Amino acid sequence: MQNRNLSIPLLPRMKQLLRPRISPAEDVDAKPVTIITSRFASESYWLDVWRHRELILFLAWRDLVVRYKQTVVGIAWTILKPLTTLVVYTFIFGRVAGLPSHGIPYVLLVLSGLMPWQLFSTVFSMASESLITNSHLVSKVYFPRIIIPVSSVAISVVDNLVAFVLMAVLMLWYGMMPGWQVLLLPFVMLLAVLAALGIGLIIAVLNAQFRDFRQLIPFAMQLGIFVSPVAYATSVLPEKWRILYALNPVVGIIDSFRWCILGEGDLIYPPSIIFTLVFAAVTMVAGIKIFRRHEADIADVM
Amino acid sequence: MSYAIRTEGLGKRYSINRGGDTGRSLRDLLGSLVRPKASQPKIIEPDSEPVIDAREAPSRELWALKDVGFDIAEGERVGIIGANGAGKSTLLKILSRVTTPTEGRIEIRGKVASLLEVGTGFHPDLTGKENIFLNGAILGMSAREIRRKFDQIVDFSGVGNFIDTPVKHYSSGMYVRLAFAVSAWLDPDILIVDEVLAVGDAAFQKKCAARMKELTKEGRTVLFVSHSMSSVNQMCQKALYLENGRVVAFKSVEEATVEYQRDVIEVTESQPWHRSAFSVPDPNIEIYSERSGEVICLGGSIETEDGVCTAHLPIERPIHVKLRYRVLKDLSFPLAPNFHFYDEGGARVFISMPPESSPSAAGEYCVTCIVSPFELNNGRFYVNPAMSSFSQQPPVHFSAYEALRFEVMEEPGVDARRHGWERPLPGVSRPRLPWLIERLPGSGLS
Repeated sequence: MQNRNLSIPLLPRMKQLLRPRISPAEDVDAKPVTIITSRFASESYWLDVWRHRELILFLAWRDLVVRYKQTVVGIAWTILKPLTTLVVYTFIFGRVAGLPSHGIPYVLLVLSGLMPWQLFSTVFSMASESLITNSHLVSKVYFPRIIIPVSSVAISVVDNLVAFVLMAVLMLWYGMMPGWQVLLLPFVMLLAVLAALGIGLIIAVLNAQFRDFRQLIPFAMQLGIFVSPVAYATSVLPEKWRILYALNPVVGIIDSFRWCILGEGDLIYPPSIIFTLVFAAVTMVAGIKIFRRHEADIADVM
Repeated sequence: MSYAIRTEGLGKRYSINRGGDTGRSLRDLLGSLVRPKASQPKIIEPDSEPVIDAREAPSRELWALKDVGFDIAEGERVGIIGANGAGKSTLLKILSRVTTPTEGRIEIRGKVASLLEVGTGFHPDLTGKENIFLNGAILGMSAREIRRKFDQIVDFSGVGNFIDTPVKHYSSGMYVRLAFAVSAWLDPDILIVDEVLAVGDAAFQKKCAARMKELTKEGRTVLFVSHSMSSVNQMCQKALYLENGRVVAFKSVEEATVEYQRDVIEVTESQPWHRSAFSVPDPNIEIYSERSGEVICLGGSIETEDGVCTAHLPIERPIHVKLRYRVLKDLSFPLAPNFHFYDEGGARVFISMPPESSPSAAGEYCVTCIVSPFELNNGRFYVNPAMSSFSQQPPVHFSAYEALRFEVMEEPGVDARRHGWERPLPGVSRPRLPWLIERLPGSGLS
């Protein structure tokens, strides 16, 4: 029952925990008392995360700054990388394979698949790797460990936002305007981040103990790009396979993302979106639970 | 006085079921699922290497700490001492919450900052300024706090104009100075330090030590792990002596460090430590010699004024240190016998030589050096008896390394100059110096 406070709304809980400490009527000298036992204290966990909120930002900022230091082209890499992939996929799937695109320029179809895919896969891989890449912190300083995978998300999100520049340029070029659905885009991106972070948390814990996942994840991501509708529309698949296909959580994410940008209603397949929502909720809850259960041992097993 | 840290029945168990520390392989996990029991019994020779293989010894356990309990009062400075593997680092890791105890309970009152290393989280590509902020945040400072202390940190580190240069271009000294500077301006109630003072050049180390003292003056509780008994003695009031994960002693720093040093010597030496007499040849005594065929060492002893040979000497009695030697032939140059006194930590206390040269004519001689009462404080001492002729090159006839080892003992009440102070009086010497006490004229109250 370590995680029962998960179900309690966070803010009132925090206020309740803060109250005795900021009350001036009590002992002015009152110092916070920390109790350490064999389990990480669950009572003050989220309060502790709150206290370290600046660290989340600092770690995210570090990742961003370090990433492009000493690169000649700098932030332009964020555009160049997806651009290259975009050109190759458009050529192979659009021209060579000649797959249908519902009248949408194929290059836009690919980009609107590539962006959510990149978001999901980088959030997932970064979160999975985060404990290992920050092992020097884990073994030397205390802070709620969940800060590490959470802060690793920032870089993927920023990269994705930059890629919208590319998207905007291409849409202008083809004279396309997004409809009202574009307003739902932040929610789709949030969904992608949560789903990826959820499993990322689980893999991060496993990764700390079993380095096999370091080999496994890039490989899985390579396969994933083809079993997800990145370079083709979901409607390419035969109807009878679609329900099975919907079990890939990324399908719902990519479909919704495309719908928000390109507004093609027939690209949407409701079961896959429902499954993705359920998947994100379940992995997030399970991810936090599993992460917290193993959090205390992480420094010992690394 | 209220407590700062209170621990009860603290224990930490590690299971050693894998080789290195590079992380487990999934194969081990899968393997243990597929094969729940060891598949084949293996015949192990009685004196073969211990089994470390994970599959053969699935549940080897090691208690890095066991039944550790102590209370530290607010404002106390406590050194943690012990051999490698005694559990010092594990204790620090638990107290700083990097890892959790397997059993037991700790209560900590106040904000804790732990410095298990300097520059945690420093990134080589970031500038000095960026790293100050990052490191500060990792150590638990708020951005506002760091901004407020920024100038002091930069000043203290002395990196000056390089503050906007990536730290990878720093010299290692600059890097460490900057790293320590951030930690030096932390503002915790309880400070946990793991031997980070051993960084930088001598001048910077002095600065660090001064800053640490300053920090502790402000009523902070300090826990300090070190292998250097002199820095523990300097910094701390009490010491927690750990051995094999258990508390051996938790008392005044003087007593605890002495106890620790004695135990170390007893472990490393097979024979008894004390040696009140020796005669050459002795396989346990190493004799250094630069000249041969002129003077040889025969032996020596430590005696009381009554001629009783003992290695336990009362502090209030004179100590007679004797050296016997043979001059093999008539020599044309003077001889200077000398005794080198060392304290338990190996620091030289003094060298003593007679006022005149000893005879150069062939024959056997015995010289005695009389150490006055209280000249040596209570504690253990070594003597190297030696013979030299400083007019010659090279000068040393012989020097018998740690040939005599004795202990100066103090019974309660023998030193009237304690004036009622009962705890140890630190120092290697307690000389009876003359004092003058005079009443200032015109100070009488009328």
